[in-house]
Amino acid sequence: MAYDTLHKILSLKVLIMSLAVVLAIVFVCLAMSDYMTAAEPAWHDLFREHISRSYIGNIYFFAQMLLTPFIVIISTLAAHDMYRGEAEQIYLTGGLRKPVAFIGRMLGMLVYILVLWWTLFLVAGFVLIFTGLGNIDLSMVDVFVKLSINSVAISLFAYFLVGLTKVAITGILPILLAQYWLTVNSNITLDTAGSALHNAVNYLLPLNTFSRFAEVDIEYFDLLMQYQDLAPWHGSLLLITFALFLFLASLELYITKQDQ
Amino acid sequence: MCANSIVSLQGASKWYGKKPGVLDCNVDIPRGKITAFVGKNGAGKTTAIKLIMGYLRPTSGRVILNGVPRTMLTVNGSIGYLPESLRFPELYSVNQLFESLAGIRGLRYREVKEFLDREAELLELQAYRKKNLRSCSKGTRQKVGIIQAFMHNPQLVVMDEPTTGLDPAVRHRFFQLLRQRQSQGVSIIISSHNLKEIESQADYYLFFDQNRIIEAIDAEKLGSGGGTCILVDRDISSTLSPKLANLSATVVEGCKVLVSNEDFLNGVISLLIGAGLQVKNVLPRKSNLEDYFLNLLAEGSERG
Repeated sequence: MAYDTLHKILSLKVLIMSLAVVLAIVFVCLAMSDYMTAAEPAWHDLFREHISRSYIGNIYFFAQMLLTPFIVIISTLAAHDMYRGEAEQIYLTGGLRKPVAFIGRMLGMLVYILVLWWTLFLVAGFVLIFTGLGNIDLSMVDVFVKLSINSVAISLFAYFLVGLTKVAITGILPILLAQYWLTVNSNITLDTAGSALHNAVNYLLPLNTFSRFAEVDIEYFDLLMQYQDLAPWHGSLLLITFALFLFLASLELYITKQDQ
Repeated sequence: MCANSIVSLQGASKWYGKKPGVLDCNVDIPRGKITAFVGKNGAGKTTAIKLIMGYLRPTSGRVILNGVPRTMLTVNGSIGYLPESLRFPELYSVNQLFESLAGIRGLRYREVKEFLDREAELLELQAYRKKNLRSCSKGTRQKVGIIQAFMHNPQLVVMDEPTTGLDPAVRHRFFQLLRQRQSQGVSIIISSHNLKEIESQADYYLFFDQNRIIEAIDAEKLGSGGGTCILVDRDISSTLSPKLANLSATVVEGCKVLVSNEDFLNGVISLLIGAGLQVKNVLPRKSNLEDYFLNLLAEGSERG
């Protein structure tokens, strides 16, 4: 079922678009990172660390801004097909149980999301190595893992909304939430206390990448500074609990409310 | 519930919010026969099919499958299904799709290969087996859908508008396939709004109108329910029609007198001979499905 889901998701268009989004993120970020303006070898050596940081920072930012919404859109379309597509019903004949079918579909989606992030990570890493800007280190792996888990949670949110309302457009709402999250965490520079709403969002959808952002030493992320003392498991636990809740809710909707 | 029914709908209704899908369906669908759901578009056929398949939960009433009440978790192990509209993953070839479906249904591809070859030959699908589904026509995809519905050797096959997109030759072969499967004991439910096509193909008919089952009838009864046709030597519509109109269940159409009630047959013949007409032939009149259905609709609208 998971294998079939990959086939379901990956039409030729989606395959090409997925690669295009990944390549666009990598090369646009490189172009924005002063790599081009500091092309002389001497300048390169001098600003290597700066360029490298800005390149990686851009990758994280644009990946959240572009890749996560792209994944949410693909998830929404897949969810719409799964909840409302008549062809889905032929898979539920011949002995397959609905919960197993649902888990298979989720696994397929999970594989797609992880492969997409893994591809971005590899391409970004190769660019880093080939341009001589630096090496792939564990911290980079760590951030990518967190971002991909975050994508999974947001995609599950899209599945849940499509299952609940049977309307594909509501599945795109998580993009707004994700973008809002990104905005409050990168643009608020003065007020470090955070409003109740910000805190609520932080608790609901923790991207859990702040320990890495802190290393980058950019004051943009100071809204998250207040959480620096919290152990990393705090955010991870919330994210996993949130994803688990969405998974179970979507499963329940898939089993009982496929009504059209 | 009838002991020999594969599916029973017991007071089953389905509402989509305030809009009715089907209302108060009470019917036993016979085992080992081809049952046709007949009705206009939007009459409730597809909703009834989805209730049977368990993809919709009845708002009230229940669906009994093989003697067991259906729940949303009932597994459709021995059921094959062809929905009204099909969308397969486009990067699959026809063979890859069959392979994938076989795997999902717990079958080994080589176990079903012989079956697939045979059915693909019958439905003229062989040439497309290695083709990408994206490049296949609607008719070809429909053939794929038909074959997959029988792939796991189900005891009940439910097909919603199965002949959509099929050319006449393949349509003929499709009905051959249904008969062949039915002779092996498979129960088949098909829905159609094309009455000419489905006529004489089914053993049992369920007529739908305005979200209700308005009639359930055996094909044999349907065929013999047309009464008798008397052919005379000249047009009598203007001369004898008023007299014959006094006899109920008698209709005059030019040189034909249609008698639907056998009790009046001798009386009508005597009257015709008495009027100096020559009776050329007396034939049993087979009711055609379309007439029967239209009569049902007319009766329904008269009842209001």
